[in-house]
Amino acid sequence: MKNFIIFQVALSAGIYHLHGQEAAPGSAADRARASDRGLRVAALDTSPSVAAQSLQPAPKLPGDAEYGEQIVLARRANFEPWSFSTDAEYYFTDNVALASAGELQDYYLRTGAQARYTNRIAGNWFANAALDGHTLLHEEFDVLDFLLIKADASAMYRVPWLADTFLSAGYSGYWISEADLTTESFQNHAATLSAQKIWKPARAMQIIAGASAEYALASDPTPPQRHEYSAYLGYKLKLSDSLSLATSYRAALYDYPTYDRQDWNHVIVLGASYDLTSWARVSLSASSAWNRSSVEFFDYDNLVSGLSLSLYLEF
Amino acid sequence: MPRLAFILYLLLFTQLPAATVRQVIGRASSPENTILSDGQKFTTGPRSKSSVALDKGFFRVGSDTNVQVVTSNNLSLEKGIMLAGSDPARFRRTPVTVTAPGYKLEVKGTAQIAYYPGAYVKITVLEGKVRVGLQSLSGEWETLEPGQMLIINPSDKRLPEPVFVDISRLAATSQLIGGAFAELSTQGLIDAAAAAQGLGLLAGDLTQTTLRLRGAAPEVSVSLPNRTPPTPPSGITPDEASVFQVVDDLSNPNAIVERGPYRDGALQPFVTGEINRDMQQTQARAREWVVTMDNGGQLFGSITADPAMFAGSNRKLSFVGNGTVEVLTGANIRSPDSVALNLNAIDLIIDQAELQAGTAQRTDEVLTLASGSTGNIQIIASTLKGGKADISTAGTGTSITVDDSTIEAPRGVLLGKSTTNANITIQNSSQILALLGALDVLAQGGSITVTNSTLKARDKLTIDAQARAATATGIVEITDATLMANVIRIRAGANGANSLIIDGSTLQGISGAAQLIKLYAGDKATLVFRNNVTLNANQVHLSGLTVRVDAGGSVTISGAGHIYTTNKQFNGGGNVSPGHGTITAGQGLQLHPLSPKPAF
Repeated sequence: MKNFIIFQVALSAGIYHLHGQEAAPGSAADRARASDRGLRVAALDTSPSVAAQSLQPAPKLPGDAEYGEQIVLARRANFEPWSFSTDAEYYFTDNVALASAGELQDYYLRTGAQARYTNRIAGNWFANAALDGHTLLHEEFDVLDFLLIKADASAMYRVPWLADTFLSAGYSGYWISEADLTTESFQNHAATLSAQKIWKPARAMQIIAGASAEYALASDPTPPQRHEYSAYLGYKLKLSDSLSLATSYRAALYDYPTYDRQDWNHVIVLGASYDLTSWARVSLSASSAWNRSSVEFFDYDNLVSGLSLSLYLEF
Repeated sequence: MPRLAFILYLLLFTQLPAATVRQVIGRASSPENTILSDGQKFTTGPRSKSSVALDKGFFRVGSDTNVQVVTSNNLSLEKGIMLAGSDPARFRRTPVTVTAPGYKLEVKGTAQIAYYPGAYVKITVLEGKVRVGLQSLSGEWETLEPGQMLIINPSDKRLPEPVFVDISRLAATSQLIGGAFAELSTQGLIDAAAAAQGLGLLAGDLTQTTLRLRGAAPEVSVSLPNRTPPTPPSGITPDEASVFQVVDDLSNPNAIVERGPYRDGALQPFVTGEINRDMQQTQARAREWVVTMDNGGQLFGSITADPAMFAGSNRKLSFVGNGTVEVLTGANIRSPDSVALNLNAIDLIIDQAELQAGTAQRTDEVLTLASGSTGNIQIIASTLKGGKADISTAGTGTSITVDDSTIEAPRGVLLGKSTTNANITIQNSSQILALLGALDVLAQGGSITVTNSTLKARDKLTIDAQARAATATGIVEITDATLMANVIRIRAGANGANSLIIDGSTLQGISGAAQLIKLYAGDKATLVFRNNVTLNANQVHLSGLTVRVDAGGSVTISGAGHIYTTNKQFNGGGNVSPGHGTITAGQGLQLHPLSPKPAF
């Protein structure tokens, strides 16, 4: 049972964040878009014919020459395929054990690091790989502490005829420890399939929608194994170069093949982030999750809110 | 205590003036030192420019520009060209907000803005950051970095992608930066942004394209055609034509210490910058190294020389061509520290290239360009640097053209010779700078034309088409130019009508008034002023058989004016001449007979 609670908590506090990152800027698809955009911008900048054609004749101001001369420079696209990030987050949860009754409050510290590689393979094909390690350390219920290590690898394809929707197929595996952070508690290996589309109705607005399926191939021990089918929708608004607001909703169906159990899990997140520098960010977030299971015992509601500091490095 | 309370009261309750007119060149709706209140409009006339100080920033406007000072640091550009900036601050710069119908700009830096209603908005950031937003679409904004330029078409529903432009070139050619204006409070930051961009160019992160936009309009005004490789002169194989020799002229003038293919001639098209040449010491040191180019030739790519090649005094790196020598697009030729750089050929063409003598702009780092007795010198869209610059032709009727180029030699610039009847043209936003010395443009009986360009010298600036021969018919025409020096002297030929024409230009000191300005047409010639001419000097002497201000024109002298003439075709100084423009002087205008007059 303890393993199962840890698993539930991990899914809520650990893997959820990873899913959140899929829907957020900085995701593999988003970075692939940036990579592709960088290349396209460079091509535009260095092409006299394209630039010349894009400029239409216009009337001249009386003092036209006073403006001076502009020599156009071409900037080398500098997309950095590697990125590393580390973060520390401190959260409050009103239901630390994700229980259907007798909820217990607690605070926990989530720290970890992530390495990610995204780059174009050829044409519309991109490669993506990520390795993530995080610990959750609770203030009171340290029996629920754990270490989560997650690895992903996928190939992505941009579909021009679907308005640059990104399709992705790959592998995802994770390992969860016991409270001592060393003893393995559970591991899972899954095949993943996802689709994601980003719209930008304005430069400072971004809408993200996506769907994913994660089909568990193997796990140890077997019982907590589950297949996940989810869809999400997110909205991000930049108020300034530094300050952004974001909200997202994710609905997921968890199918547990070893039980006769299906859960509907819903998560709403509200967040604000402030870029201290190009490599450091502080964020405030609040999320509400509610889980409705075919087995009533696994129903729960959970509210999590907290503060995080993230540091980034790209090269 | 009462005094402290009074000061606090002033600080808390006294409203700072929205804006103060600092400088007016030509005509403006409000004269200098006018305090513009909230909501007041400010406009400039044709060929006029102005500078206005804000509470925490500034703006400058060009010709025919309409702007409204909504509140302090909040402007509305209705039409025209503006340079807007927020003053530097230790921690956080207060933005200057500029709106134009449909657009909002938040300037935390220095930016140049052009707005033509219904046609385009162009924004170029010189330093700092500028947030550009569309008022029609919330969330449609972009923060531009230094060097980024955005051109927005009114039909655009979204902001386009910005492009990068050369900050140095824009700052050098903008007439709202420098020129007759005082130095910007953000000049140091602009210099730093330009330097950072220069590092990007050196590192290869940025590369210069052939795309240029001249002025405010969005068209690409110059797109350079592809060059075809020249055909070597007949009788010479490509390899022979493309060989250059470095000769040690001290120890053994005939010894070839390095020999190699410099270009492949007609064998294959060259690619600009593909072949670079770094001359290394292979034998004895020499005072002068000469690169001989039989029948002329072409120089391209990066050409440098090892400082260890040179010894002794008067060190020189010379390129000598017995024909036309072209320095081609993208070429960069530099001599080492304390080594002069000479280019000597029958004809000399420098096209979109950089030449630099030495590294520290010392007196001995002289850049010399010389052509033969029948040859010309053309400097096109190029940058020439050195401690001194000496550019001259040798024969009657030859020409020197400086087009869209910068010549920067702090210790002194000499263009032309006092003994050569040449035609010298400086045009198209060129800049000639001698910021620690004198600048001389000389032609004996030829013509000197300065159009839409800036000439600066710390000491004397002399433009003399009469030079030594007092009877020569030299013509000088200065149009839409800015001339700056402590003493400015311009003289045209003794004979001929309209020998000296000053059209819509500003003459002044480097910062503020010059000490003396002398504009002398010949004693049998006419000195003509057209449009608005500003002569900002303590003493101004004007001379000619006839001194005329064309109808609609005005000559504004800040200090004392003295006019030595027989025929007074202007209004001012008690003289009335219907159908002509005016001459005014802030400290009095005195009229004298043509002779005697102070020596030139």
